[in-house]
Amino acid sequence: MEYVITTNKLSKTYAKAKKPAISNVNLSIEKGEIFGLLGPNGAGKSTLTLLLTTLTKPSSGDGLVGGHSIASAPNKVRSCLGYCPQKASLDEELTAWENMILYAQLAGLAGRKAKKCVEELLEEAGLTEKQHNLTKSYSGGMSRRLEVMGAMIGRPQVIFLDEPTIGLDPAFRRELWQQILKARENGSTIFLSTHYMEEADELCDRIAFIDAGEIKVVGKPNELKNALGEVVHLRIFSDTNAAAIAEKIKELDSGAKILNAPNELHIFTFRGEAMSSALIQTLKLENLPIKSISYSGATLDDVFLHYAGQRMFEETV
Amino acid sequence: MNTIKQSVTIGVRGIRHLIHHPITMVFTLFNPLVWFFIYGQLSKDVAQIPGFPSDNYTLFVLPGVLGIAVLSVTLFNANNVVFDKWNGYFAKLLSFPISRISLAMGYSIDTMIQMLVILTLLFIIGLPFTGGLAAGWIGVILVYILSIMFGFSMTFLGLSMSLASSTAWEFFGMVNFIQLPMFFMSSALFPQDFMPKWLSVVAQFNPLSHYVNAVRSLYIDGLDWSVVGTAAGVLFLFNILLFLLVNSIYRKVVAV
Repeated sequence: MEYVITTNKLSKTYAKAKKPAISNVNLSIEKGEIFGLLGPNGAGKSTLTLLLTTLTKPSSGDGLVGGHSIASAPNKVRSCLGYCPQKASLDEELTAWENMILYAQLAGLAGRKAKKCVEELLEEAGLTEKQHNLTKSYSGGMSRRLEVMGAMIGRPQVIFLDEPTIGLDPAFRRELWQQILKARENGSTIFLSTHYMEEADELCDRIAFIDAGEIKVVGKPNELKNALGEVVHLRIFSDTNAAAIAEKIKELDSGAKILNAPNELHIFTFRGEAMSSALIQTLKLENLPIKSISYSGATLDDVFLHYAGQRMFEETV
Repeated sequence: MNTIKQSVTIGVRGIRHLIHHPITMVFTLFNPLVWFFIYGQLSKDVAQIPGFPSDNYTLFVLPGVLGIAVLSVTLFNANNVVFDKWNGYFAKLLSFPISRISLAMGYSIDTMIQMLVILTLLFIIGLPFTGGLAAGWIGVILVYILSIMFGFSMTFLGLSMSLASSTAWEFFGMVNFIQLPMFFMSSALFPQDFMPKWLSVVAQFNPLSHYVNAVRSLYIDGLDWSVVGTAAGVLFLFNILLFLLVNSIYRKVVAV
């Protein structure tokens, strides 16, 4: 198996910070993968991306990108990556063509090769007609598409996309997904940081959940969900009954994992349907009232809940 | 791609801005022109004071105006770094396999080109009022050399402030804090002999005074290597000091 990115106990603590932004991260990302990094805001996604793109130095540990150390050979790392930051990365006072040709030249392409590469990417992004307009006249979606294409210049070995679809409408988001899939077809490995579950589910071969600077779990989306089976979500009137209800659940399924949230219980079980109906009857008999009960196959949000112990805010696509 | 090519590539970005927005040059020119025409007219009688180095105040003040122009273009153009840092463009540039120093050089090239354009325009505008330089063509070449030296030192100062600032307001605050005192505590508007003693001493340590004195001597007195040489030496020293300053801040900010 050929790995394009590996990290070994990678950690980063910013100056004056009390806690590490990321701590002891060990990851191995295969060549040609679309790898998703998911987590809530402030979980450490951007810090890990900044470390792997050599935009900040590790406090301890190391990582290899394209076989080069991020700590000791950052410029070699830069020569094999493309990066689309979370913040806007276009010069709005330049045209799309000027932005892209500048990127191409800085990526080491020159003359006709640079021109051809830019022409192809602009065409792929559907921006050929507007290539000589200043990018400040572009819509948010057009700008973001151009920024993502900017990370693909020179068909780099690894493309880092930090929240590439944040704030985009569903149509533009899906268009970008197609461009990301095409970049993978062209041989690039994609490292995608996102907090959209559906995006990770649809695009990523494997995902890692990060929370409070630590990787909680890594795996294929379906395998992660299937490993949890089903989830019963129970809404209760008062937390004072939570312990008694949890006891009844354990009597019904001793293997179930129960997570408490304010006025809520989340039950991870492989017997969702049977558990739900049995639970309704038992709680009625025991005079333990509930607001609502539902069960479903585990979602990625449930996977995060299971490993991080809390819900991650999810927007619908 | 070597460092020079990378620096030029980044520098060309600023030139493209100018091509898209040529009107910005008019705004940049406006301030020095106000000093030249309005202030020059208001203060023209000062030249009649016995002992004043020239009987033509317009001729006297033009080198000061050139100095103001170099100072403001170089200091204010560093705001590009502040905005690039703020909006994420700086990080994007740093993600490319370019030498770290090429980024600072690229910003400097952009600034120096703008400074030279403004300098040339002011030089041409001033010609009918000053009759050119007493030092002739060699004087013109020396004015450009001195301007580049002074311009680079102030570019380094501007970059230092922009790299050290976390917000645009902080940067503009710092520029105002430096620019106005530097301007008024120099020989840009009046000869040092006419200043209060303490101010004259302060002006002696001001690179703007040395630049203006040398350019003024080329305009009024002709070629005097001792004046030009002293100014070049002082400006060289300021370049070294300010380069060391920007280099240390730059290393901390870029740090990768």
